[in-house]
Amino acid sequence: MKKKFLDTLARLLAPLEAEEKNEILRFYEERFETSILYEGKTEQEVVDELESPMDIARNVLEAYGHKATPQNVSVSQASSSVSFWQIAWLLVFDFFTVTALIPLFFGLFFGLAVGWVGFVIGFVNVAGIFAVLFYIGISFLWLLFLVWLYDVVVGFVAWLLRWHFNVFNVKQGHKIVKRLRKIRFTYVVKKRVSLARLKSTLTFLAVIGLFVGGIGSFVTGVVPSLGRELEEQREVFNVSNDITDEQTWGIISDMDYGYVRIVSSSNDDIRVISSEHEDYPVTIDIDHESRVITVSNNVTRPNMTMIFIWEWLLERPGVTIEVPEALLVEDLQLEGRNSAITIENMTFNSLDVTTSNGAITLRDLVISGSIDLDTSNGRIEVYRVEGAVLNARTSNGRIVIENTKIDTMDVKTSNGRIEMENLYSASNAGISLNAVTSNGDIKFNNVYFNRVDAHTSNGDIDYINSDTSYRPQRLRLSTSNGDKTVNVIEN
Amino acid sequence: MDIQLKKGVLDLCVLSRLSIQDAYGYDIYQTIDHVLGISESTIYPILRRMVKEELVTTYLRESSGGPPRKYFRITKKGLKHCETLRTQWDKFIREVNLLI
Repeated sequence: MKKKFLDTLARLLAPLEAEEKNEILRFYEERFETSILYEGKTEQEVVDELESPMDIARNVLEAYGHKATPQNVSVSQASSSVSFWQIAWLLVFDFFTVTALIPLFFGLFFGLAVGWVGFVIGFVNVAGIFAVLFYIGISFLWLLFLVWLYDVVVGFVAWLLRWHFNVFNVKQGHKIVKRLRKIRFTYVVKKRVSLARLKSTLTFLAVIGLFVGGIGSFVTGVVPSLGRELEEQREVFNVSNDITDEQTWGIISDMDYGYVRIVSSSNDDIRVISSEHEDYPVTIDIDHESRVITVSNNVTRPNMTMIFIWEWLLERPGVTIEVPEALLVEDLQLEGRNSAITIENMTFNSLDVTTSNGAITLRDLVISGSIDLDTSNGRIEVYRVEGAVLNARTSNGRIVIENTKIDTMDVKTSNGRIEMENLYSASNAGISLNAVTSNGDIKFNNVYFNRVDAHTSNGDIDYINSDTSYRPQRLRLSTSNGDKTVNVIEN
Repeated sequence: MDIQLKKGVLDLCVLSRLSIQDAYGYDIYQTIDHVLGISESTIYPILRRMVKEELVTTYLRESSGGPPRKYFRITKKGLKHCETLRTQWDKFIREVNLLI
């Protein structure tokens, strides 16, 4: 007790000169000895009798003309010996904070916050007791994680500020830090018992909901379809007359779930083959009058959520459409919500593909008109395609284009790299190429266009052509945060 | 009694106590605390200052069965200072009494 008391006091009296400090400490040592020896008190009794080390230090420091109160004794103590290394470390860490930690923390926080709001709004689509329980469970735990992240961010900022205040000797700094710490959720909860109890009760219920909802929806939604084979549905019809009459066909898809594959065949039949889940049947509609094939299916939201979670247990459904090589296909309008779309070995007029969650792959196509590709979550790949205009957009996925001749290309991804290889040649260059990514590298290899614009907000740009005699009329390559490796020179 | 008022007369009290008899720190504190009720931590810095100002000197004296204790003895200068403070104090009391 005595030792602890004296040690604390010694620490708090640090601003004093060693001699002054030791004298005061000696007084108190003597005080202990006297009281224990002559008054028969225990160390604890003496400690109880004395003022707290904090009060003693305050009185003593004041008597010696130190304005400092013991709390910020440590602050001024630390600052009085600011070294070069302290500041150097601080600057290194600040750089790290500004470039990495702040974007990471705030990006994560706001991304998750916006995601949470979206998730909660999506609740209107949820039906069925298990799905609702599951949904509520996830929402609450998500919110809890957000709150925790908020605390981490605030705590981090407070810690960072304290460090700066210490090094640069800001007198009132500890007040700001203290105030910051008080706006943390954990602090607020700690102050109110009822709130803390409510929080733990809700967390408990959310976890129960998550388990019951998850197991329930697995048992009712997934287990029945586990052993079940995908069912096959086929429509086959002969189009040899249309081929000789040079009549054109169109294909429209509107699939909520399942891939779409369009390929060419060497016979005279159009074959539509769907392999599907019994619960999510595909409607195949063949309009022989206007010569349009429509395939679609409809999956409601809660089942959709479940399917995504358990998808790896289930066989993937989808539709394959085989089209005779010789048949003219005019327009393709393919729309999907959760489906990958693949088109191979075809010749047609124009192509319009929109999917909200799936990759788009084009192989060996000749398209006279425009190509529009749009996916919000999936990569876009184009191999050996000839065409006039390409517009490709993905919000989340890479864009790969190889061995392709499309005069005018405009590609954009919000998150993913862009790779292009073997597009045109030096003697026969394309018209214009515009490639933009918000986050990812751009790699061009043997890409010959008269006008090339490429921009990445975060990533490197590589542009290497084997034929260096080629010089584009216009070359604009920019990266906000990355290196450029280029052997192509603007004319 | 107001703490600032007490602080003003502590020097006088300490010196007066020592003009009667040598004493160690805790002893001085106890005597004054008995009457004025002051905090212990205010006494020790005062004693130290007085040593520096040569109003008092210290010496170690063996105590029965314990480690030696630091005793304070008032110097001539201290006695003189005590007299001055005493005169000032008497004058102060008279003047204040005229006002209240």
